[in-house]
Amino acid sequence: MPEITQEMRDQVKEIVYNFFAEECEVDRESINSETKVIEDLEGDSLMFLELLEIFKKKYNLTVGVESIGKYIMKHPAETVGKIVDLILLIIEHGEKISEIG
Amino acid sequence: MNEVFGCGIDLEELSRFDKYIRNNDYSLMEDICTERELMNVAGDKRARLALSFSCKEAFLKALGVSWTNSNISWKDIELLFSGPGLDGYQVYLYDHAETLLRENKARIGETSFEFNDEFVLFQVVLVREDEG
Repeated sequence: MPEITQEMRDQVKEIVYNFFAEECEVDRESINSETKVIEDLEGDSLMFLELLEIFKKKYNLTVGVESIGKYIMKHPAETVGKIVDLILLIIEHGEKISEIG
Repeated sequence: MNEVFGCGIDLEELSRFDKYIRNNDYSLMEDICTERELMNVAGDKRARLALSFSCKEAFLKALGVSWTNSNISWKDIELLFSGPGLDGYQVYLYDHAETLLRENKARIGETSFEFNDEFVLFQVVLVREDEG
């Protein structure tokens, strides 16, 4: 289980913010942790799956989308900040993320 | 006339699927498409991948759920084309998607799709089974 360092947190945040800025064609500075992905950025499922894919490749993760879906079912990730937290949990727990209560 | 159980419409931009084909990288698609779907994308790969994804989204909407608030997996909904073109196709539901439909005594009423150079649109109507 990899230890989440502050450097990793900053890196994940940077990638997530830049990803949404580019994909949603908005100013990077207009995005903050409270920005709502669907309502404010008009994000969608495919965008979220693409973001996951970036991190799966970057950190060599083998977690399936079903496991992530099960976690999100219990803990909805509606804001950019929550997406960052979710990605960090996926990196930390991998496939076992679905077992988190 | 059958009572409508649910309707789902989904629109996808074709260009969003370009990078997977250009880079020959189907890792994301492997997460959401069945093996048969991926083997079935020969020909117009871009349109077939986009339609496959759009079909899944449309069915989730018609069922009134999403992949993050139900146990339905992307792979529970499968779109297969029967020939080299896009005219003949069949949608198959498995596991949780099939169960949810059956538990609600519903079935696929109608499906259709349209596409142009920029977008694909898939629509589905689910209807209640006839009583008796």
